[in-house]
Formats: sequence, structure tokens, C-alpha cells
Amino acid sequence: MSDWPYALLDIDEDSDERTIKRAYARLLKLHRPEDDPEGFQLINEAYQLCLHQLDAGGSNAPQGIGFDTPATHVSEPAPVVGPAFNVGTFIAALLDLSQTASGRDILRWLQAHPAFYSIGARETFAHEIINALLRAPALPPRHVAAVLHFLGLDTAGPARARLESYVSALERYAHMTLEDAEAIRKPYVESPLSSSSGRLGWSFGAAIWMALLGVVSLTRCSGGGP
Amino acid sequence: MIVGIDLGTTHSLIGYHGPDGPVLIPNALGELLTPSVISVDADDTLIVGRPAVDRLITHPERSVASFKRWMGTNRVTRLGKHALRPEELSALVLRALVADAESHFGASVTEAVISVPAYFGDAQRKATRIAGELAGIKVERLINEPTAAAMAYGLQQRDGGGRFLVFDLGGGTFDVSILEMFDGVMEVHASAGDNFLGGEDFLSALRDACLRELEVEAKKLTASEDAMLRRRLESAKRELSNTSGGPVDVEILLGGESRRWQIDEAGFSRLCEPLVQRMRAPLERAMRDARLAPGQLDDIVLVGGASRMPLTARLVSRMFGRLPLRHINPDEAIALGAAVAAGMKARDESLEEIILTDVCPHSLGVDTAQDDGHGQVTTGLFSPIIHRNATVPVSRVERYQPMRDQQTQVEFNIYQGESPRVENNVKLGTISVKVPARAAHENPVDIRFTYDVNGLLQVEATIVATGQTHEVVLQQNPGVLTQDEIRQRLAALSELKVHPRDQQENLLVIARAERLYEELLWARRDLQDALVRFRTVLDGQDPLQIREHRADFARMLESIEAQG
Repeated sequence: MSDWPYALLDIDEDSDERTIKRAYARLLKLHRPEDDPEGFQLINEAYQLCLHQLDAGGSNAPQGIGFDTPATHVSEPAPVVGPAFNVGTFIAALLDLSQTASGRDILRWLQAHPAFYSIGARETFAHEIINALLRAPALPPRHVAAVLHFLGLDTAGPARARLESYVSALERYAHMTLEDAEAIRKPYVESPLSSSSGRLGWSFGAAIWMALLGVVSLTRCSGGGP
Repeated sequence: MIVGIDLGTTHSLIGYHGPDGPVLIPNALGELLTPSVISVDADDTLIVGRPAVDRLITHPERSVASFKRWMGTNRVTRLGKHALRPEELSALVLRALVADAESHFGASVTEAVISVPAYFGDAQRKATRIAGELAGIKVERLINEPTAAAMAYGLQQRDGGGRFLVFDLGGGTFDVSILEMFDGVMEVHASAGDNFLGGEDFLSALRDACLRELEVEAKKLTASEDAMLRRRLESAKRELSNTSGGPVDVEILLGGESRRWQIDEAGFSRLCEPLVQRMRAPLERAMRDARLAPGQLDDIVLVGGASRMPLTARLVSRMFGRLPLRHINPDEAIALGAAVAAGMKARDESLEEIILTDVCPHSLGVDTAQDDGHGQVTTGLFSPIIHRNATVPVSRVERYQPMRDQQTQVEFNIYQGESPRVENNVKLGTISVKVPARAAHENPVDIRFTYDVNGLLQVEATIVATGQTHEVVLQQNPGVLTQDEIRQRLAALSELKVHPRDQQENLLVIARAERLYEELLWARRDLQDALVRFRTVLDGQDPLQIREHRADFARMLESIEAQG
């Protein structure tokens, strides 16, 4: 990375988070977002890059600045930590349930699953789950849609981008057993206000096998990656 | 004078920044919360606020509530001879609030900062600005509700800093924002939410269960029975939040028959499980976009009236492994923050300067098609240009190329949303540019999106080969009024008769007496007589006599309602 962000903020390259923030705050007063959009955007970019660099250096988790507040804690029992997660047991239970359940039942079951309650748990286990599903007997498309919805992989974003090839492989895998392409195209709708959906003329053929093989090798390549 | 306004789904508040900090202004009834409800009486004069709430029961076809949910749509509500859009209904509430502020200051109010849900999209924000315009005030800024709450909260510790998550469950909307305060900067890291999830939905869940268990068909309820049921269940819901989980009794008149229903907190939580589940995804997404672990948050703050329900605190505890804070009165936090923002807008000297940086809550992009190299073309793929939770103002550019060689026209549709497929996102407009005929890979088009602090999007297309630039004005969104339409509506609105604020107390006792008449069969004769007497006194127009009589009348209603 070049050093322009540090030069712009007028700080050393080994500055800590505190210093970066102080420099950013000082410059912001001269280039307010509402008064100087271009100037602000440049400073903000430099600030984000410096923070990113700090994170990438793995030096330290950002430290919050603690403060005391006169507020009262809401009186509720102490939170429970979720039990350890075993992907084998999980997939077995999912396949079992899939024999009799609807997509909605699958979603409810996932939502009630204690292992996924804490923040970030779904993202932590998403890769493992999808990998295991690609090796297990295929789930029907509607059930795959429910799993993807629960894992937050039906929305655009970094999580989806990271697992894109796995997700599309899983979708295709589901379609090899059922022809109903419509089912997986539809978003998993919970709110009655969401709208859906268009026609889609997709044809699936031998190319899918090749695509799947491609994904398997991709799996290997990225196994050691970040 | 700049005021701060919380224009809520169920209640609205107005305040300003005084020498000792933010102050909320009471309405003519002496209350800080003005219900966002409109009604129209027999001679088509409009009633705004608390008296209109009672009329939801007695005159359901002439009254309306929760219209914030329709902001940004074309929905028209018929009230007597009037047909009103959501912006106009909101404008009537804003006018009532401004009248309260003007009577408080003894001076006119012309500018305001109005809070909106962080997750409001383009059309809804525009509609809110138009509502302000229709109410005759200049909207200096729209501030996101969680950010406003954080300002009310953050300013309490003057030299404090830290990261916090604001969990805002209002009457109709759910917002999550993650913010950080440092060195006079308030930085929003991420926002997420659900524009159709709030206290009203929990009430509906309660109502559906009640009707199911009493085996009453919802369709068979009259509008006023339904309004009465909602009113009873609303107070049951409040009771459930306050008591220690014991059962709450609800007594209601259905089809002329008195029925009894019982519910406890555990039962209520079970009913609301699907709604609670819908809060998980925005919380997860906000944390992920902010790239923070729960341990890195200094506090989790609950605001919004519906956050009083114990199930919200339970959900937060379970997900974050820690207990949330409930700070200032959750009904008032947003309005207090809007008042602080108004003070800053006025560059109030008593306020330490705070610079606010916010984010764009939705991804914005265009539709694209992709060729997989085997001749398979997939269309309708969403290509985000500004990613959600980018700090605003922001300007970003992406390069695209035509699908075919010698193509002379390229069309892009502009979308807002998070689905990888555009059909699930919200379309904001279309742009079409002519390109010179040449090989596709030598014919790229740059699309630049610029999003400003007020949430307005500008789109620019540059044909790289020729350097030609097209500035694109987004086609008018069907849910947004044009300037001409605004002028017409403004003229029409000024013709409307609205009961003046000094009539509020009289309107309230009448509306309340009429509601009790509807609800309590045994008291009908007494109420009828008292109403006739009060109307006669009103006709006499003697202020002193009216005040005395009104006080007696109110006491009588009090004791009737207590015997209920």
C-alpha cells in the first residue's frame, strides 16, 4: 500500500488507532461532509485505509474507550452460551428433518437451533455447512433456499461473495434432483410485503456436472486461503 | 428557530435546543407525545392527535393511524370528503406540532430537523421532506432515528467516547445502528433494519391469537369493535411488559357479547417468535458490516416504545451474550436527539461541536447480464456500485461493457437492495445511453453514483471511447410527488379546515365520551345527557363557563371509566 493516506492525515505509518482517529477528527472539522463532500470523501478513504492496514497488521483488536453511564441494566437472566457445534450431527438431523418437513419447518428449526444464536455464529459455520451439504445426499431446492436464507447467503454482500461458488454449486446440486427451478429463484419470503419474482428459463444439462467438478477443485485450492 | 421533530408511526414529538440542553414541547393537552392519528368530524373539519385516537373507535371510517407505513407510496386515504396521501397526513401532524411550538415560543417556526428510520429508502425520505414542505416548514436535515437517539445519549457524557449499538424498535419500524464517538466525531459504522416491523405487528399477533382462541372471525368484527379490541390489547401488551410474567385479563365486547381472554408473558413471547426472529438478521448484518465482535461494543442501547417488551432484551442478551441498557425514556430519546441535531444545525454555541458521519443503509447499483463462456447468458444480476453502509457523501464508479459487438445502445436499470438478483430489489429508475458501434470489449461505459448527505442519488454515465458524459436525472419515482403536484397539494391543504389547538381539550372530552358510549352499555344514558349539556355550554362561547363545565365532565368520564 502506498503511504498517501498517512501523508494526508499527517501521521506516522506506525500510528495506533487512537492517533489515526484523532488526526481524522481534526481534519473533519475543516472538511465537513455537508460542506465539502469531495474533501471529506478523500479524508474518509484515507482514514478507512489506515484503519484497515492496522487491522491487517493484526497488531491489536480495536480498543473501545470505556465510559461509565448512569443507566440501569435491564433486569433479565444472564445470557446462555450456545453449546458446541458439530457439523456431522447437524447435517444428519437436517437430512432427517428434510424427509418430512416443509421449507418453512426447516427455517423454524434452524431459527430455534441454539448453536446459531450468538452474533457471528452463522457466518462462522456457513462454509462448513455448505461444504458438508455438497457431500451429503441432495436436499430439495426449497430446503436449500431455507438454509441459504437462514445463513444470510441470499443477500449480496461480503459473506455471499466469499462463498459465491459454493452457494451456486449447492443450488445446482439441489436442482439435479428436482426440476423445479422456480423454487430456488424465489427469495425466501417472510414478510408479506416483499414482492417476487420473475420467470426464468434455465436449462440444466451435462455442463452442470462440469461446473460441479470445477467447484470441487476450487474448494481444494481455497482450502488454505483466508 | 430550528426545531427537532420525531415523526413516528404511533406518536410524534417536537423539541428544541435550549440553554440547558434539549427540551421537548408539550401539546395543547400538556402531553409530550402527540398520537400520529387524524380524524375528520361531521362537517369535514380535521382533528389531529389524542382526540382522534378515541374516534378510531367511534368513527373508524373517518379516522386513520399508522400512515407512516405508507410513506413513499401512492396510497390515498378517504376521510369524509377528503382524499389524502401519506405525505399530507404526515403534514397535518407536523402542522399540529409546529403550532404547539409556535404557541410555546410566541414566534413562528420555519425550519426543522426531522428524524426518519435509518432503513428508509429513497422514496420514503423524499416523501418525508415533502410532508415538511406541505406543512410549511423547511426541512433542514433528515436525521436517522438511531443516530438521533445516540445523540441524546452521547451528549450525556460530554467527554465520553465509545462504540455502541442502538436497537430501535418503534411503533412501525425496526432499526439497528452501530456508532462510535471520539474527539467530537459521531461516526455511524453500519445500519440495518426492517421498515415493516414494529410494536403494531406485535399487537396484531396478539389480536390474531385472541380472535383465534375466542373463535371469532376477524372478518365479522365491525371496524369499531376491532378498534376497541386493539385498544384493550394494547393496554394488555403494556401490562405484560410491566408485570412479572403473571397472566393479564382482557375483557372485550364482541358481537354485543362480553368475552374474556387471558394471556401471560410466556404465551405472548411464543406468539411473537416469528417477529422476534425477523430482528436477528438486521442485528447480524449490522455487526458484520461494522466488522465488530460483541465484545468490542461498549454498550447496547434500547430505544423506541416497543423495546419495553421483555422479549427484546432477552433476544439481545441471547445474541450478544450481554445485557442491554435502557437509557432515557425510550419514547423520548429520538425526539431529544432530533432537538440536539436542530441545535447543532443552528450552530448553537452552548453545544460542543459534533461532526456527524452517516452511512447509506442500502446497496445501490445496476442490473447486468453475464455470459458464462459456454454461451449461457444470465440476466437480471445485481451489480452494486455503492455498497450498503458506505460512509456518505460517497461517489463511486464502475465500468461495464455492452453484451454484443456493434451494439449502439446500452440500457441500465438502477436498483436499491441487497438481493443478488434485481427482481427482488427496488427499482429507482432507468438510464439509456447511445454508444458508438464497435467491439464490445473496446466500448466500455463508466457509471458513477453519487450519494449525498441527504440521501439523494445522482447518476452519471461516461462513454469511455468518446469521453461523452450523460448526467442522468432519475425518472420520477411513482411514489413521489413532482414539484407541480406539491404546489397543488399545498394549495388544497391550506383550504382544509382544521380544529385549532385551543379546541383540543374540548374535542378530547367529547371524543372520550363518545368512545365510552360505544364501549359501556350501562352508562349510555348518562353520557348522552352529559354530551348534550356540554355542547350547549360550548355554543354559549363563554370561556370561563366552558372550562368549569369541561372539568366536571372530565371527572365524570374518569369515574365512569374506572367502573368500566
